[in-house]
Amino acid sequence: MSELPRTQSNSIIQGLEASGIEFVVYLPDSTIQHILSHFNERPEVTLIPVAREEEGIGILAGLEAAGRKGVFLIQDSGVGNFLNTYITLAALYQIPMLTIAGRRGGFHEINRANAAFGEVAPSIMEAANLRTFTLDYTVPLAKWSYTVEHGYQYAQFMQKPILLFVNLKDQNNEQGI
Amino acid sequence: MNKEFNNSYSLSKQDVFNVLVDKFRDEPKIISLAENARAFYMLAQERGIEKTCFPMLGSMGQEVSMGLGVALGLKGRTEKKTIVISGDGSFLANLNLLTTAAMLEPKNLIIFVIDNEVHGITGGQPTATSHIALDHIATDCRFKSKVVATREELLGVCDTLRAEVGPHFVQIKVNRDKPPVRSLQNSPAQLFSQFREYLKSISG
Repeated sequence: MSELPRTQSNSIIQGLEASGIEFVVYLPDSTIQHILSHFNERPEVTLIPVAREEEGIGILAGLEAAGRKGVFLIQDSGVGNFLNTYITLAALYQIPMLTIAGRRGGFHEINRANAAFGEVAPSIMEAANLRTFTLDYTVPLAKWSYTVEHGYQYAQFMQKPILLFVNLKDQNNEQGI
Repeated sequence: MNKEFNNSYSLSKQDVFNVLVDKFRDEPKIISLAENARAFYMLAQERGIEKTCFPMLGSMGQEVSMGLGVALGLKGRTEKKTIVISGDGSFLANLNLLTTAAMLEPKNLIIFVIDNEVHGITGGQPTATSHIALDHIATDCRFKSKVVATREELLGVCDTLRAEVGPHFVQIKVNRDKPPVRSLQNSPAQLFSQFREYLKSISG
């Protein structure tokens, strides 16, 4: 596992590495670019860029069926683009998968357009009875990698898709605000 | 647009399913929703190979994404190709999968698009495939593409697909005859579980 300075992004990286992730499926958000750059340098990890978030859910379902370990990285507004596939494929078929959604809602947002959906993304997931966890200023940084690793395990144990909202907008703040 | 839309192709969906279920009997197959999923799965059950099939109940268009995920996951672990059986309406809902696949070049992926040029189960509304060359789009996305419209052409293509390195795209022009269908009785979770077990059994 990589030895990295203690930051939010690095904590997520360490949690994913501890989970043995082989595939990183993504539609990038600016707040998750450091995570993507890290795995881009790892030959043992395959990066899969998608054009639209619903594709990523389908690809992750296929990887899971093939017995491979994948994770999906998106911006939280991507929830709006994948909701049908998330519900009618991932949740309905009880397919375990972990999605990590970079928050554009919440503290430190500077773009109102990005925030427009980000602000309601957690409520939409809750209204659809879809399980989520959150990493932000309320969770000590020391627990971030643990949460990522156990989020992946939880999805596998429960045989369902799990989404982890992560607020990475202030990379200089150790408390994850 | 406000008229009954029909075509004059000789192949029916059932003709195509009969060929594919025999020619790709032992390959993993992901099938698009509605009529395709129900009819093909019923045929697979009659042949005793239903565990090799993953029928989509919804998620229109995502059979191709899931097929790409299976192909990438099985790469290097089996010689078998991953087969996606889509319909024109479903495939057009996720056309961007072709551009995604172009970046990844999954050599073990074969996509069949059974193209009757309409949304059949909803009353026969036309799709765009009568106006565009879908195979040209696939070729531009680095697929080896073919269009077939007869049983002989389809049989000829199938015999070469397994031998040739992909990814492959085959557009099959069919008429609007409906295949026999039966509603899927299996639970979705059971369908995924049995398909995952089958993939595990063929992975080295």
